[in-house]
Formats: sequence, C-alpha cells, structure tokens
Amino acid sequence: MERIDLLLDGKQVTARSGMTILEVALENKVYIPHLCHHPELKPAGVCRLCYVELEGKGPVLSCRTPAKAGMVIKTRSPLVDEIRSGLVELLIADRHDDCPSCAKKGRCELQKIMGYLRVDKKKARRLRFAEGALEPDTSNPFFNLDPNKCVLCGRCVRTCSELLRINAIAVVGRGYRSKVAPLGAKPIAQSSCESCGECVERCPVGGLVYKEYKRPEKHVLTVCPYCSGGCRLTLGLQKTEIVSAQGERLCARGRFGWRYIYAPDRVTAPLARTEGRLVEVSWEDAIRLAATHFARYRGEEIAVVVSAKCTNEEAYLFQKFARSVLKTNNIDNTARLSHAVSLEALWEATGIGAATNSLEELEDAACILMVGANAARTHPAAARKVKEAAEKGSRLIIVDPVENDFRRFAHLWLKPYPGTDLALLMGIAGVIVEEGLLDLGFVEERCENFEELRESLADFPLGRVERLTGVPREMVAEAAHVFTRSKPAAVLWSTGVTQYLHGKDTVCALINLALLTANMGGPSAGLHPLLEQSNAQGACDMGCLPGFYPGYQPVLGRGVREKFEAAWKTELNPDPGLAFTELWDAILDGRIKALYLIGANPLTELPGGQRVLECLERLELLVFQDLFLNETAGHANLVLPAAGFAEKDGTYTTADRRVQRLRKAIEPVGQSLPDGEIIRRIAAAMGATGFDFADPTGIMEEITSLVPGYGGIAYEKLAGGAVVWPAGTTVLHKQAFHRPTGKAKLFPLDYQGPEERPDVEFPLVLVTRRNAPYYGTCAHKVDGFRKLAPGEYLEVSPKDAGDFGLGDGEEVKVISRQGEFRIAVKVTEDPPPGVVVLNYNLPQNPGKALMRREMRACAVRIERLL
Amino acid sequence: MPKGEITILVCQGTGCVSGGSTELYSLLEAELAGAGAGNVRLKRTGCHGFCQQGPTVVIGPERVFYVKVEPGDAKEIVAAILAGGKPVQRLLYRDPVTGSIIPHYHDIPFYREQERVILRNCGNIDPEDVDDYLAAGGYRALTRALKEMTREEIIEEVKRSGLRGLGGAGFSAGRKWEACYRASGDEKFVICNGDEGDPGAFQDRSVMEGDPHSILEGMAIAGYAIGANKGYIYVRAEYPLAVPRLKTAVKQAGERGFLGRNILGSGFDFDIEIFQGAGAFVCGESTALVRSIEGYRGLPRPLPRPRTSEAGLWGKPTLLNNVKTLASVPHIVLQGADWFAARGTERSKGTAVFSLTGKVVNCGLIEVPMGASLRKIIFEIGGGIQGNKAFKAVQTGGPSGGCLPAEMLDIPVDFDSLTSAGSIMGSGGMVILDENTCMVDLARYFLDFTQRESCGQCIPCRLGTRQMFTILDDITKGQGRPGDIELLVELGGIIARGSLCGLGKTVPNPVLTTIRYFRAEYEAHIYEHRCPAGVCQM
Repeated sequence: MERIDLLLDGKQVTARSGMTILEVALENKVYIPHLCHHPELKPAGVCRLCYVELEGKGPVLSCRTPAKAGMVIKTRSPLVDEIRSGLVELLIADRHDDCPSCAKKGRCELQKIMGYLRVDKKKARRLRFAEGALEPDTSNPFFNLDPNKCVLCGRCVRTCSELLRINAIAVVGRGYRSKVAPLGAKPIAQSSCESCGECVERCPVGGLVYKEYKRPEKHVLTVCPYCSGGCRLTLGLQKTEIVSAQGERLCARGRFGWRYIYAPDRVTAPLARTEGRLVEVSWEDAIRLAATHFARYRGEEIAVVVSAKCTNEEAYLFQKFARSVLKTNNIDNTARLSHAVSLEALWEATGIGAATNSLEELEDAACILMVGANAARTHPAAARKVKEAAEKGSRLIIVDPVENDFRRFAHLWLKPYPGTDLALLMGIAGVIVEEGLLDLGFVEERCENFEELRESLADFPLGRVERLTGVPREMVAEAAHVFTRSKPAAVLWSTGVTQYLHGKDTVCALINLALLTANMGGPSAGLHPLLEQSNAQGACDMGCLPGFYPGYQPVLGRGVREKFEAAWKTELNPDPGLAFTELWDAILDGRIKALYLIGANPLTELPGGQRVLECLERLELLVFQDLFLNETAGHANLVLPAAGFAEKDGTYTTADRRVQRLRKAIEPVGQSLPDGEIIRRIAAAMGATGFDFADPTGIMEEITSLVPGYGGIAYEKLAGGAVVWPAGTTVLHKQAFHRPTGKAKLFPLDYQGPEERPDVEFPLVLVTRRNAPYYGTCAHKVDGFRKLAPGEYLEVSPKDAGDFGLGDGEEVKVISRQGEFRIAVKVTEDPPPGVVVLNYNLPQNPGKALMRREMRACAVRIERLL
Repeated sequence: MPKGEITILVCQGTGCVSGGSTELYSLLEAELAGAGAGNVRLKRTGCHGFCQQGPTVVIGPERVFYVKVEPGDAKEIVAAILAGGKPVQRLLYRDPVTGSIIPHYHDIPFYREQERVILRNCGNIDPEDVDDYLAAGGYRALTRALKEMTREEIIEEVKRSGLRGLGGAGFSAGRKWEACYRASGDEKFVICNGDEGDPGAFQDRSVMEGDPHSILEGMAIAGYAIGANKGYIYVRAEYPLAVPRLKTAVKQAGERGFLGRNILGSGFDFDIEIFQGAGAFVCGESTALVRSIEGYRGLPRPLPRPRTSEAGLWGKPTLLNNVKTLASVPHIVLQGADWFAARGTERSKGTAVFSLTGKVVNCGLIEVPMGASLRKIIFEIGGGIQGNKAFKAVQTGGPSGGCLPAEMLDIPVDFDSLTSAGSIMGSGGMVILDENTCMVDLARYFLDFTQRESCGQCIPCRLGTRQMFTILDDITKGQGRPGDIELLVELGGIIARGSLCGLGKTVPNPVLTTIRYFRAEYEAHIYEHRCPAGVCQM
C-alpha cells in the first residue's frame, strides 16, 4: 500500500492511500467533529460537520475526500467553524436542548462537538426552537427509539443494511418530518428488527438507547454461549454484576442473552426428593447422595447425557467419569439431537469429525450449497457470511422445502418434499457422474469406493428423483451444473438434514458431492455442518459419544481402550454404549435403570413425549443437573444446581474448530457450582482418582496428551485469541485424508424416506421451524425475548388454505397419528403446497407431540373448529 | 363546402382537457360525421401553450384561433367551416389591451414574438399518432444519424451547437455526451429527466404530452452516440396524460422500427422504458433520480462522487438530460449546429422554454431565443401585468431560483445573466408578481415548499430550511425579531455552503434575493409591523 505524506494542522502526517482526510486525522488523534461517520460504515456525508480547510480548495468534506500526497489541511478555520457552529445551533434548536435529562449525557457525541465548538443553548437562542415532542417508540423490550434525540445521521440505518443485511429500519418521511422508523408505520417490536442492538451501539446521540443502561467499569473477554459461531463476547461489569455485552456484530442472543443468569427462577441450591417432594439439601448431602446412588448400578445400567454447552474441560471430565468411574460407554451429548451424526459421518469419510474449512473462507466461495439450514435463526454469523458472499457474486443453491429470508440471495432454490433430500442429492451426484462433471483425477487418487457409489447412483435416475422429491428434473440438473461450474464450492447444512431419521445418510450424500467435485482440501471449499450449540463440536471432540473416546478414537478401535486404561489407570468397559436417542427403548425394557442428565430436557426435546414420560417414570434414578428446573426435572431424584457460562473458566470449540477461552466474569449465582466442580466432588466422594484438578488448565493438559487434534493447545496460547485444531490448520485434508489409507470414503447409499408420508387420511406434511432469533440455551429465561417471541402459528400455503377452506388467523386443529393440538393459521408463500410449517420459538415445540421417532416432520390433517 | 383540406386542431393538453376539450373533440367528431365533411380532418394535439385561453382550437390552413371554446360550441364551429365563410366571431381571440379581435394564430402577440424550436410540433401534431410526427419530419434526424453520421460526428455536432442542459444547470450537453462516450463500460444508459417538480412549471409536461416522439428520437440519437442500448424516461406519476402518451409513443416507435433491435437496419439496438416517479421533488436531482430508478429511496449522493456520466445507473456510465435538451437534439442533427447556434447569445445558444404564470396577462407556455429580455417576455409576449397593476418582480427558476425587481427587466435571459443577478434559469418556471405581492410572504411560500420537499438527509437543508421557514412565518405574522434579516442571510450562507446537493445549495435563493432587492419590505414587517403589500395579517 502506498504511503503518502500530508500536512495536517501544520504537522507532517503519514497516511495510506485510500484513506479519507477524516480517517487520517482520527488515526493521528486529531479530532474533527462528525456524527454520520463510523469506521465500519461507508461514508455518508450527511451530517456536514466534518468540513476542513484544504489549501487551494477551501472547505471540503473530510469524510469523503481522499487524502492525497502534499495536501495542506487545516481542521479549523473561521469559515468551517462558522458552518459547523451554525449546524450545531440548528440541532440544538431542533430538540437537542436538554442534555441533563438525556439518557446519553456524558457519552453523547453531539455534546462533545458542542464543547469543541463552544456552542451551547444560550448561543442558539436567536433561533426558533422546535415546539412539541415527538412520540418515542418504546415497543422493544431492550431499547428505545426516540426521534426527539435523533440527529438522522443514519448510522443505525446503515448498520442494519450495510453490516447486517436486515434492513429493519429506514429514514421515512421527507424534509423536516424525516425520521428513523421501521417501514410500514409499525412499532419496531413488530418489524423485521432482530433486536441485535448493533444500531444502539453505533448511535452517537440519544436516539437509540438501552432501556436499562449501566455503565460498565471493567470488561471480561469471553465467548457467546448460544450458537457454535463462537462470537467473542466482551462482558461489561459494574462491581460484581454483568451489565452489558459487546462484540463484533452480535445477534440479539449474544447482546442480551446473558441476562438469563439473573433470572429469578435459577436453581440456587441442591434439591433431593424426599417423600415425593424436592427439598433443599446441603451440597455435602447432595454429593453423598449422588455418589451412593451411582455406586449402586453396573455400567450397563446407567447412562450419562452431557450438555453441548459444557466447556471442553467439563465434557472431558464427564466422559472420563462415565467411562472410568461408572464403567459405561453410555455417554452422549445433547448435540445428538442436532449434529452428532454430522460429525460421525465426517469422521467416517475423512478421518476427522469436524468441518473441513473455516467459515471465514465462505467469503470467496464461488458457490455455496446450503441444505436444510434456517441459518439466520440458528447460526447468524454464518448466515451473514453466506449473504455477503452471495452479494459478492457467489452462486447460492438452497435446498429447503420452506422458503426463508435467504430468498433474495439465492441463485437456485430447490424444494424437495420434507425428508427426501437424500434422493435429491444422489440425483445431483448422478448428473455429475453421468455427464462427466466430476474431478476424476481427484476421485481416483484420493477417494475410495467410487465404483460402489457409481452403482448405487444407478438407483437414482432423474425420473425417480423427481417423483420422490417433487423437484423438476431440469432443476436437479441445473443444480449439478451450477455446483460443478462454480469452484470452489462450499457445502453447508444444518438440522433440516440431521434431524431426520436418516439424516446421517443425507450428510454422507453431501460429503459425496464435495468429494466428487474435489471441493476438499482447498480454501473456500469443503464441508460445514452449522452446529447449533456453543460447544457441540467440543462435546463431541471430548468423547461425549457412545462410540468414541476423546478425539474420535473408536471404542472398538485397536489399542484405543488400552491407551485410555493406561492413562486413566483403570479398567474400562469394552462395549460401545447407547446414544441419547437409543436410551429410551433400553429404559423401557429395563436395561437402563439410572440416568444422569446434565443440561438436557428429553421431555420436550425428543419426539414421542408420551413414551419419554413413561421412561422417566420407569427410571430408578434420575440425577438432574442444570441452571433451571424444567419438565424433566419434575421426575428427578436429585437436582444439582449448575453455574452458567459467565460463572466459570474453560474453553469452547466453534463449528470451525476454533478453540477459545471462556472466562469467568462473576461468582456462581447462589450455591450453584460449575459442572466441572460438581463432577469433581462426586468423583472424589466415589473414591475415584484423576479428577482432582485445581483449575481447568490441568484438565486441558490431560486433554492435549490424549487427543491428537488438541495437541499443543495451552491456555497461554489462547490468551491472544482462538487456536484452531489440529495444529492451527484451517483447511483440512490438503494432501491426505486422516484415515488409515489416506483416502476419503465415498458412500454408496440407499433411499429411505421419512417415517411418515402423507396419505388420504393425513394429506399434509407438517415440518417445524423456529421463527424467532430468540431461542436456545436459556433464552426463554430472558424477559425481553419472551416479550418479543411471536408465539406459535401454522404457516399454510395459499393453495392449501384454499383447498381446505382455511382463513388467515383462523384457529384450527392439527391432527397426526400420534396426537393433536390447536393453533392459528397464517397464510404465507413460504411453504410449498402440501407442506405446513409449525413455527415455534421458545423451548416447547408442540410438534414433538405429533411425531413418533422423526423429529422434524410427520403427516397431519387439519380440521376446522366448528 | 370549402375546397382543399381543412384541419381542426383541438388542444388536448392538461389545461384544455380540464376545460372540457375531450368532450369538445367528441362533439366535433359527431358534428363532422353528421355533415359528411370528408375533407375536414379533426386532430387531437398537445398543448398550444396559451393555456389561459383554453380550450383552444386552431382551424387550418389559415390557422384561425378559437379561444375558451366550450363543448357546446362544436355545432357552430362545424357550421362555420361548412359554410366556408366567416369564423365564429365570438370565439376569436380579443387582445386584452386594445380590445380588438385578432383572428389568426400567428398575429397574436403571444405567439408572434416567440420562436418555437422545441415546441414546434406541440399543438400541431397528434401526439398519439406516429404518422403525424413522421409527416412533420419526425425520425429523419435519427435516420440521418444512423445512416450518415459517425458517433463522433454526432457528439461534435451537439458540442458545436452550444446546446446547454435545459434542466436548469446549463452544463454543456455536448461535453456531457462526450464524457459518456469516453467512459468505459460494457453497458451504458440514457435517462430523460421528466421529473418536473417546480411549482408553476409545466414545460416538460407539455413536451411529453404534445410531442413525445421528439424525446424518443433525441434519446435514440443520444444512445447511438454514447453507446447505450437502453433508455429510461423518468416521469412524474402525477402527469396522468404524459405517461400514457409516452407509452403509446414508445409502442408505436417500436412497431415502426425506430426503437428496438437493429433500428433502421443499422445494427443499433435501443429500448426505452417509462419509469414513474413517486412524487418526491428531490428526485429531479440527478443522483437521487438514478437511485430512485434503482429501486431505492431517492436521495442525492454527496460530493465528492463520480459524475453520473461515469458511474450513474447501477454504477454504469449514464447520460442524464432534461426533456427539452433531448427534444432539441433532432433539430440539431437535422438542421445542423450552425442553424441552432444562430439563436441565442454568445454563451447560451438556442432557445429557452418558459412557463409564464402569475400576474401576467397572457399565462402559458412560451419559447424564445436565449437572451431575450425579461421585458420582452413579460410585456410583449406576456401582454404585461393583469389589471394594469404595476410590475414588482419576476421569480425564475422555482424554489431554487430568485426574485428579480423592475430594475432588472432589461437583462437578457440566459444562464449566466440570471445567475449573476442572484437567480437561476432553472427548469424554466417564470412567475410574474405585481404590486400586490408581499415578497416576505412569497419567500415564506417557497421555503414552506422546500422544508417539505428537502430529502431530509443533511442537517443544513433539513433543519436550515425549517428554521428559515419558521422565521419567515413569524415575520409574516408580525412576530419578527430585530436581527432576523441578518439571521436569515447567515442561515442562507450556511445552507448554501453546507448542503449536500444542488437543491440544498440553492434553496436559500428566494429568501436571499428578496432580502437583496426588497429589504425594506422585510424591515417594514419586523420593525413597523406592517405589510406594505397588504397581504400579511398582523
């Protein structure tokens, strides 16, 4: 980059070419008044305050004038000061005359400018002051939009469009009636605003202010506990209380989601069931009870399910506890209900159970294939990157039966019938192989099983694919053509794939596509499961899986058990365990008698709730560990109160393998304890060794010695930011795959449809989706999120609404083979005919009651209420 | 029955239509059908310009001029034609000053002193009939351009003609064309700015309504010259006659091969789309207009920024010209730069079209060579001031323009003279004010307009115009304060220097010029609490 010298207020300064005069000045700590400029936003040039005197040219707008070599600039002159003093006086006269009562006082950039120019209310008196107050919009539970305090600099509007691509607010009206507002004259709470607060962060004045603002005195850098994007979170503290969260482009959950910590219904003390009631007990009693209870069961009789929000260190301890103390491989984590199959399939295919590339690289992908992902809701950081890539020209192919806000970014949108994605993907692979669009060199050199795959593709002629999926064969072929023409191509998927019974096969079909086209081992290509929970990757990495020790070392693998027996100095159970979803049959037939749940709520999370209820009633022992009591807790014998993400130290691993430090900001609330501390105490009470770590650093040392991928990770290295495993490698499989043969595995696949297909009695397919950005972890414990949640409704296509005589807003009865419930209808264009979408947001998903084993879809009929 | 063909031109401009000329046309048609007059041709035309006298009817070939015709007069008009004799006396134009009857169009002072180039076809051809345009020499310029001239020659001709942008800024059209031609880009656009929004201005509307093909022809020539294959006409949706007439013209031109693919076998493709604006005044500003077509809110882009000719619509080189500029082009191509440049002054060539309104005797649409004096326009063509009142001022250029007093009556009307007098040529609105007009009230009127129509983006224009309006409002209510005049001048300077776009930089003009030329009136309001014109109630 070219360096240029210029003279700023008589001082020689150096700038890089491409910088504006304002940027040069601010970088050199020379202040020029400004309101509309913000370093992350494109220059707007609307506040007109940043004029400077450019020698030979007169006043120029410094935010839009590029710095050039030899420029002689004065940031103040009588003329530019006259212009901006005049403008500031105009602002004062326009309702900016009452600083003392303003929520932003002391932090207001206009106030700073008034001081700089020595302009105040008294000086502005010669002007006519605006009369009457405008109506503020206080509908959002987190912030207020006050037109009286707004200077219309447009930072908020540009943040929403330029940085977030949400476009919830705009400047509406003309002339002096202009104001910032959501489109359509609705309160902001009813707009497309996602309450991320990024606009509030950038507002220079009191136009957008938090409802409950407390000035932070110190900050703690940690990681967001919601999705697996791993956004860095800076928690602001006032004394010992968390008062704010900041970061680069946070979503609502990142910004306000921490507030669940202070929810009044936290469990703050251990509870034990006595005479049918849960009563408070001391920690000593609770630990003793847990130890004696657990000691009563043989390994085969007990199972442990760990939250995918525990830290790596805690997850490691839990599986170590299950395996070495309880002697069972019945250890799983809650990502089983979302993405565990993704990681298992990736491990089978490539030898590493993780995304192959970083999300950062999506920016330069020429094509993005996104399957079954409502990414804007489940993984906002990835969603934004996909949108940015699409705007830069990346071809976005979306496979999803239901449309969402990616509509305007998609190049192709394929809508297979729910649960038939596998057939569609095999159809695409068939076209690629048949038309010779594959990278034969790559396949021959680096993959196994190609002939087997080719044979199984013969079962997917386009005619059959079209019949099974409802996607026209031309579109299937077009998708194959776009996907192979645009390289590098990245493949993304989420629970719309994995939560079907045969989701793992569909993941395999996606892996096939990436391998056939050699979209592997290079930048901006590869496979990306969009994991939902903050440490889903880490919980799997740490071996909270029934078939794998930490680091995806198989329970049945040669020498693996022996390795861990030596390390842990104890004998281990040789048999693989049961998955979270497989426990229930085993409970019903009496094989499993005791269950230890950490941050899991099977009663609402699993389909077939009635069967789960029976299981919970049948259990001899249920130990429940969480921050809050939930439906499942009602069946617990023992409740252990856990601490949240801000109350402990440790590490999280993002969906793209970045290991980051979670830092303790506050002491655990009440008597609650971090999960790691609880398990340490139980293990000690059971006389086990190998759990007595003073802090998580020691646990990480043990992890690095036993998990090959985590080798070399140490807390000192994490101090400066994230460390990518393995060994800092962002792009995996460059030369060889991590399998014994060094080659990747292609998967020949058979088609197995969803559990239920529509028929005469149940003619519609119901799918579920979360319609608000506010869910997960303990989002429903945040007051504001509950207020914003739009509630449940059933989206019906106009055609089905017509066929079944349903009106918009009408309450109907939805009936499946398993159950029924009442819900209001909303007629929209999102679902295709034949599909109805159950929208829900907070943890209860009424759709679960309608389903048998399938988690995402079932056949239903709709009856009108008479 | 008279011999030879007789044409009856019935004006169907907005003014005459509102006066009942549509019904008049139907009744004339019925009368003629009943009479079986085969050699009488009835024709709808665009605006004749003399709107104050509408509905107007011109009976050819002598061009007998009937004014204020009502539908009920149809029978009598037809009877007079069939009788082959005297026109209907009571419908003839009567000079408001002398009271004498002037039967023929070209003898009427309002028309006699004009020189019609851009408006040549307005009022004479049927705007919905491409054949009529062709009969009047239409599309010959395009034919010539495509078949006989290189792109460079066309640009050179436009440059040499001295044609300047008639939307108000007066930038050399030829230089703009050349810049677009030179700008590199795989795709270029031509945009015709028909977003006429000044209060009291209707000259662009009249051209769009009365001679739409001349605009299409000018755009096609421009497209060929700069290398564009797509044009847009940005027209206000509030022009309900202009929109369908432009659409009809585009359709007919396409059918005849003057638009579309491979025009006249030349290999040149050019399509035109009509884009209807939503009524924001600021969308007449070039960058706001471009953003509006792109589907965004019409907001001007601040300087420094690339010129529209380099990065305009969708970031592509774009030629943006006013309706009248483009309508002048066929004449220049056909009759040559010298012919065009023979009109006008040293630095402002050609003609200018004005909407003459206010307290002038003859209100209407006029066209004069550049450099004609205000006196000639107001007192000869305009017939002086209504009711023998005294002339006080003329406001030119709409809300961005200024007021010029009687001392200025002899300045030539061209881009530079008006600017140095503190006003602007603007898009051609000309409002005549008499002794009963209060200049403070007038300034208040314009600022009321701009405070509403400012796009609201930048602080100086949004809050400055509001502040100026509030002060002016106070003054007209007798609540002016000492120092207000100086404050207005200071605010005017801040707005002019600080604003983001051309609109903001000129909005103080109505205030600053009235203070400059009529300061005593302001002082009377503020210090003596009286309105010399007797308009303001205090």
